[in-house]
Amino acid sequence: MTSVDSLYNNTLFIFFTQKSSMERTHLSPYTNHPQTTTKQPISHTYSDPGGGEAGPDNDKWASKLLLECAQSISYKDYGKINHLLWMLNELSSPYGDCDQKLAYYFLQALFCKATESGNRCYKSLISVADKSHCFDSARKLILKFQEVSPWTTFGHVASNGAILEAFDGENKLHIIDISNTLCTQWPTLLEALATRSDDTPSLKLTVVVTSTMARSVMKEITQRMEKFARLMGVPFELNLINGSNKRLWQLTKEELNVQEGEAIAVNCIGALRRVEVEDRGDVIRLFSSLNPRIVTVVEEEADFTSSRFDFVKCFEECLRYYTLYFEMLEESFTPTSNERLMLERECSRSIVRVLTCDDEQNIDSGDCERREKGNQWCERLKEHFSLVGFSDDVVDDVKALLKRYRTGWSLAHDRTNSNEDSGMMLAWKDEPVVWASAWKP
Amino acid sequence: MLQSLHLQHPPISSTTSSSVKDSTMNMNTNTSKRPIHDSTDEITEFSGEIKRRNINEHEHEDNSLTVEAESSGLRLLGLLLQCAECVAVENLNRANSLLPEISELSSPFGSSLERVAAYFAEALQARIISSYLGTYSPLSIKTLTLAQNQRIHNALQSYNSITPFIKFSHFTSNQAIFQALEHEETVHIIDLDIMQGLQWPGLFHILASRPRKLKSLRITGIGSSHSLLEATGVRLHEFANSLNLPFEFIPLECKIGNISSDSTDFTEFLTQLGIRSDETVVVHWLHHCLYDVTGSDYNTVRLLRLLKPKLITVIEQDLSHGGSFLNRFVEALHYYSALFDAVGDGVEPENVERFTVERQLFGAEIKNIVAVGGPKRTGEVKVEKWGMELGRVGFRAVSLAGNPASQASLLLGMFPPWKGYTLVEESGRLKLGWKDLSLVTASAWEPLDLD
Repeated sequence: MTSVDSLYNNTLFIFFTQKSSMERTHLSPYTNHPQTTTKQPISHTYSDPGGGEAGPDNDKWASKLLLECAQSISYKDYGKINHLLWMLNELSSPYGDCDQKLAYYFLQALFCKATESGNRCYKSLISVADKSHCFDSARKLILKFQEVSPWTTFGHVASNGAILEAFDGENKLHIIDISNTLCTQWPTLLEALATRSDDTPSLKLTVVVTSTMARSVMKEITQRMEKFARLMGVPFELNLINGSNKRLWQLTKEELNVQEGEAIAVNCIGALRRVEVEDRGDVIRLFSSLNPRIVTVVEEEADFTSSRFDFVKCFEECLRYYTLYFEMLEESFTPTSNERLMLERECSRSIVRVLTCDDEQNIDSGDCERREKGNQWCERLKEHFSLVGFSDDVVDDVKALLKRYRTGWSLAHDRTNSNEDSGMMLAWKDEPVVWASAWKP
Repeated sequence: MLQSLHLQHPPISSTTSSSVKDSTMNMNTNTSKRPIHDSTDEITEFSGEIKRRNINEHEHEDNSLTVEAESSGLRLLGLLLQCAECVAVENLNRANSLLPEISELSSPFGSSLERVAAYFAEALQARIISSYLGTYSPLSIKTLTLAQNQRIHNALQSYNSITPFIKFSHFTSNQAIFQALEHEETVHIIDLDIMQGLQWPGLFHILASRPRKLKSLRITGIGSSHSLLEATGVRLHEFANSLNLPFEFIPLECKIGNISSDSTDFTEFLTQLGIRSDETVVVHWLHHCLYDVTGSDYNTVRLLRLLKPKLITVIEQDLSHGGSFLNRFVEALHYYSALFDAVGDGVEPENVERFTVERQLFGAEIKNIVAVGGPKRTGEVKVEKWGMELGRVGFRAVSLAGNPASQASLLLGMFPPWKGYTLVEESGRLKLGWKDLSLVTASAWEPLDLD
């Protein structure tokens, strides 16, 4: 029996004899309940004063405990919920190994779920992050992440390749960029445009920012991009649109600055998942109405949507995805990296949002975070578009990109649509993680 | 409730019932909005200390940076104290609402203040959740796995190379023990928490080199794991053999306070510890908050009184363990701020060795102090300061001025130059600290009524 198991068994009886604190639905623990303060000591044979990694016999203890707790919450088994929350509290740490981190951040979500304080918690997390983020720190974070991992650059290279090919021969280009990448995608594209064999085209870039946080940092971007474009000798115009205080599908052609004679590309990086589930069809219809030459969509490969009314199922998928992500972060960054810590904290906000917040409350449109898998997006996009395969050149570019990083990264073959090409899938240790695709009307 | 604001000696007799009463009183004052502790004073005091300690660091830095760092530092301190106050009056809602900002402003990879705040935030979070769940697990019944012990030992090795505290405790106590054993030939040392026994080779060396040879040297090593104790024993045997010392090691897997407190059979008690009647006994204890050593402070004091060893050497952290949560919190915050300053001095924020020491040792201790500990939660009675307690129960201080003090000064002058560390001798005790804040006190004690 592992030490975690014996901890569990030894402490089990304590929780069944205790009046449950989870029966309260509001977060005020001690009004009129002095008996919930128990002085019963718990005897056990495993404890972690905050510094330990799981030994070989305790592998993946975090996911076991977390899943069990999620299940207990759905069955409303209050004794067990208390017990598991307590164990997770004992064993977790935001500065430990992957298991400890996952335990820490998912414990936060489970605690919010059990006390029904998810909405409040999320609001507080977002407002704190908003206050402390600035352009410099956000940019540094994105660039550092791109340096150590192809997680984001994969989508950029694939999309840029598809866009350039679609724009071949055109000279009045308009890219509608719906993303929160702080324009880190575009310098390479501008360079490619500058070195095109025929006349350099003009580029109008309309950036629609959807995340509440990226909004505050975008103003600084404009100067930099305009300066870079001048250097490249590309006639350039940049417009910023705040897409977070309205429903995305309500944007009009006028607001997006769409004009006659332009060749339009819609570039959608990690943005569709931020749209409320019911509105996603409308957003895609909007894209279609712009009559673009190409639409590029890049999304993280996880499904938090189809299970959104099933807490346990959604929890399982969240755990699966973020376990991969945290492990990837741990292997990509140095052990004492502040950037990795910030990315982990970002995850904790998403986890709370997806697992504990009411979608109907519409906390702040633009922060939905309910990802869908590539094949799910395909179903939606097929209503108005048809898939464009990536050319061999683009695939080669992506492969060359992956070679620049540590081993573990590869292009996965999509097994679901084995007959058709359904986009490109970035895989980490053979697990599909990021999906990129290109579409035409 | 208010009386617990002041540091005081807890009554020696076990008083679980009064601690329950305390917590009920706690509940009734819950509705009062007035904070029981004026945090503005604390913050001013704190920030003054931090400024003073960092004056050299920031001398040549950009002024605007320092101002910004100062204001966010002040904010961080203020939030931590506010959060602790809320926890102290069990206003868990409010405490919980402060944590996101505290976490966001802190990081284990930043400035000293950001790092110490990161671990205190982690500990507060753990405490809030366990308070909410209403279930506590006293430190005295937790045991560590082999792997955890190994990690602690490894971290201690790093700790030994980046700070002088361990060497300080070894040098001063070995010197005091050597002096006390001047005329003795049959010696028995009891190490209350022997771990890897790294202290003793130094003592073996000076004992072996003295003209009057030892007839017998025995060490009872107390610890939590038989296999670890065995390994320690093997190592010590090897060293003793290389010096031709007549050495014997007695491993004792227990906690000193759990040894039979029944004083009826004194010889039975001596047998348990492995002591022979003709031996000169020395007791040694290097104090920390990584895990519980005594099992019961009360019993430990009783046993020491019974035993009346020739000498007791104690190296204590300058932290008290009784008192109210808020007092313990504030004291610990002062203490660890200085410690984090000390290990971070001149070291880049990305240093992995320092991170390991901070996480495996300091962070673990902070969690034990903030998230677990506390007499009101567990009903245990803790000795506040062993140095003072021994003085109250029939022992008198043996001055460490003289050889032990000069050993300590020598140490501080050794490589690497431990600049910033301050050594003070006060009433025979030796205090090692960082920039005038005493962090560790070495003291030695002998029984009042000597045979």
